[in-house]
Amino acid sequence: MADLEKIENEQAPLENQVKPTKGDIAENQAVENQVTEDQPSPVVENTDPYQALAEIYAQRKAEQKASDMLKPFDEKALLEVRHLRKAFPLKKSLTGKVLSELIAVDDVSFKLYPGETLGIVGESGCGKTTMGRTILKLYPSSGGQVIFDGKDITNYKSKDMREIRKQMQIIFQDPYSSLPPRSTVGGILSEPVEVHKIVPKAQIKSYVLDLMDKCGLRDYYYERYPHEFSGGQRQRICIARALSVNPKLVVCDEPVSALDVSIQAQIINLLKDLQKNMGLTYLFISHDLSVVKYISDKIGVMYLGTMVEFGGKDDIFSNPLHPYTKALFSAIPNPNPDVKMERVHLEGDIPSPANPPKGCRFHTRCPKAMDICKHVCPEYKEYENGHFAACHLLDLKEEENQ
Amino acid sequence: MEENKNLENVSLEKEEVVNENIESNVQDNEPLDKNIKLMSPTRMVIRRFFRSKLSIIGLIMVIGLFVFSFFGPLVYTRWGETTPDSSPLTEYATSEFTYTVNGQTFVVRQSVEKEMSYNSYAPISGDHLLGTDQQGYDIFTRLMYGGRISLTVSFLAVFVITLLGVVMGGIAGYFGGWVDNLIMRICDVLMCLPGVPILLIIGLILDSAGVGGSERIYWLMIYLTLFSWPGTARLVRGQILSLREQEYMVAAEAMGYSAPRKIFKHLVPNVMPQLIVQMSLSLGSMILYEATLSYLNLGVRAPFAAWGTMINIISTDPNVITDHFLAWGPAGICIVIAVLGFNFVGDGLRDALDPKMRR
Repeated sequence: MADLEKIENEQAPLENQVKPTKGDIAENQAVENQVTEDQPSPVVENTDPYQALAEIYAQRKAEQKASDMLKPFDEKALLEVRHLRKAFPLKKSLTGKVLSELIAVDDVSFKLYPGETLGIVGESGCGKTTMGRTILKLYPSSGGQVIFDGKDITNYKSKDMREIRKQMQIIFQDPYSSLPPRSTVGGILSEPVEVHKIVPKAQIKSYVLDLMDKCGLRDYYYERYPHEFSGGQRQRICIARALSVNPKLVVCDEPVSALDVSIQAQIINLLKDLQKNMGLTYLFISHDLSVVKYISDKIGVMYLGTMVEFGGKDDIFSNPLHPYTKALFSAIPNPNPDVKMERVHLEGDIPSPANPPKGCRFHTRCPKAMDICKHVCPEYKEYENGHFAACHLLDLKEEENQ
Repeated sequence: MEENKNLENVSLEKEEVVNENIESNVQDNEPLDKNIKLMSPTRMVIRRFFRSKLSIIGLIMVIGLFVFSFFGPLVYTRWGETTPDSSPLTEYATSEFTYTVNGQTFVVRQSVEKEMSYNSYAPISGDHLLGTDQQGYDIFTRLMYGGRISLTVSFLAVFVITLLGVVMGGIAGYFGGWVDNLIMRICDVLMCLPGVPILLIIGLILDSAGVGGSERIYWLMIYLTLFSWPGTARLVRGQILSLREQEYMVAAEAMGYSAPRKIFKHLVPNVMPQLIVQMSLSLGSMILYEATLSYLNLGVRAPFAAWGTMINIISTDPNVITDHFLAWGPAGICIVIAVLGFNFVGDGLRDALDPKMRR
């Protein structure tokens, strides 16, 4: 506690330095306005009128990041992610210097409070899974902070992580490859209990049987092997394994996308029941919007490694701010045939994260892309209470309102 | 019309069956019959193994040799490994010379009685089931003792090779990076070394150190062991490289298991099928190695018996190979049976452990 205060005190002058003053912002807006006015003239194009603006945005972003990283941890939040970045090296020079990299997760920030479910949606390949695994430190992060339960675990060594491991667990997408083929269900479920000494040795079996019962597995499955089960049952085993260590946070990495629809419903309901009974917090990664809508309290929309929109479920579904979110939601089928669906068609494929587009990452496919989008990366900021987004359109709207 | 009806019935029945199948799949909570005990992977492998005739023959050969070598000397105690049949053997040699002197022919018959202190090259008889060799040792008994040393030595060698290979390959495959590089380069170097010349040198060193009899072979096998683990290590490393990317290994990581637990409790058991095959195949080659070394008079030396040493008798006297088949033939047959047996078992295991061979 004392430490935190100290940090806060130290940081106060820093923050003043870093924060852009009102004058700055006014100037920026002036530049911005000027730029939008200048836009039609073809002469300016060659000199890249947005360069100055892009630099200002980038600088502001860096300053924001620097100040965010020093902020005290939110004590109420179970999981706080600040400017998380994960890049995989693609090419290395002989000396080990990274020449080119694939940025799978770039500058993602959010907070998750105990008992909540955060749904992460996005196309395949947008970095949802990588983000989940980086948060769990299954991949080392390349930048940013992960604060779990008031502790900054970003730089924890694997030895220190072992204690944290039992508090954060993961359920995988593929129930077929995520269970070891050569051990029985009983063995799979009792191993973590034994390793983390959750209950005394004599009680392990009864503990495991109790857990199996909670997850809808029959007691005589104890001696059976994973290959004897169907996908749904296997996923139940995976859930039981994740819960065997009494975690606080469970990252569900597309837990139902490999299952057929009737089983999906069973598994989702099981997850909901378990959350209610055990007070779990979920980070629910899925590309199935209806599933996310059903289970989540908050939703984060990801595109090409960045969080483009984040907010409460109702906010996002009733009032999506980002054009990508709108396009995504317009793809949800409506059971009422009389309602004419206004579908937003996105053209082209998701660009390669190894070579992301300059400016706003979505501008290559955005139906409302403007010139500024091609050059300047929009700011990720709060537009409504607890509703974040990153889009130049919203900035424009705000200006108009003012 | 009737035909149609029948057809309909058939198709209806089929549909019903199909429906049942679907239902049993879909109804996730429906209890399967408790009494249905599905087979564990190990049981399935054993079953598939015994389905192949060749592997059963191999197993019988191997088990037969084991019983013969390890229990045989306990039952058949008439002769010891190094007790010659010293019942004196009197050998008569008669020769006839014809001389012609001055038109007269003289025939001189000479009879030589040669008394030998042991019964050498005795034929098959009740006393000697497979006869005796030059020194009067009982060949049947020596085959049993020779089998003991061949099997013991090759089992020990394969065990140590596998242990070293699993540990080194496991560490290299799991940790990767410079550890992997280091271990794999060591493997490369060891694989470059020529086998037989170095064994000859070691044989000379053992000679000058005065290590004799049956101990020598153990020293040579230690050398062989130290230089043969790279094959197993490479196999294990390769398997672990592919296994560690499996999702259940990520799950193990997420569980916070320690590295030794992950390597030896999660990865190595999954390499076991390949390892068992490799082990049974290398048992055959180790027996061959042992025989070669003993044949070259580097390994087990007379008067101690080993299959290779027994064959070595042909190098001392070229006539043996044509005149006394019993002195070297049975030992050669034993080597062939052992190597064939282990290879059959190895092949059978490979087929049985291959998940694509679901028959």
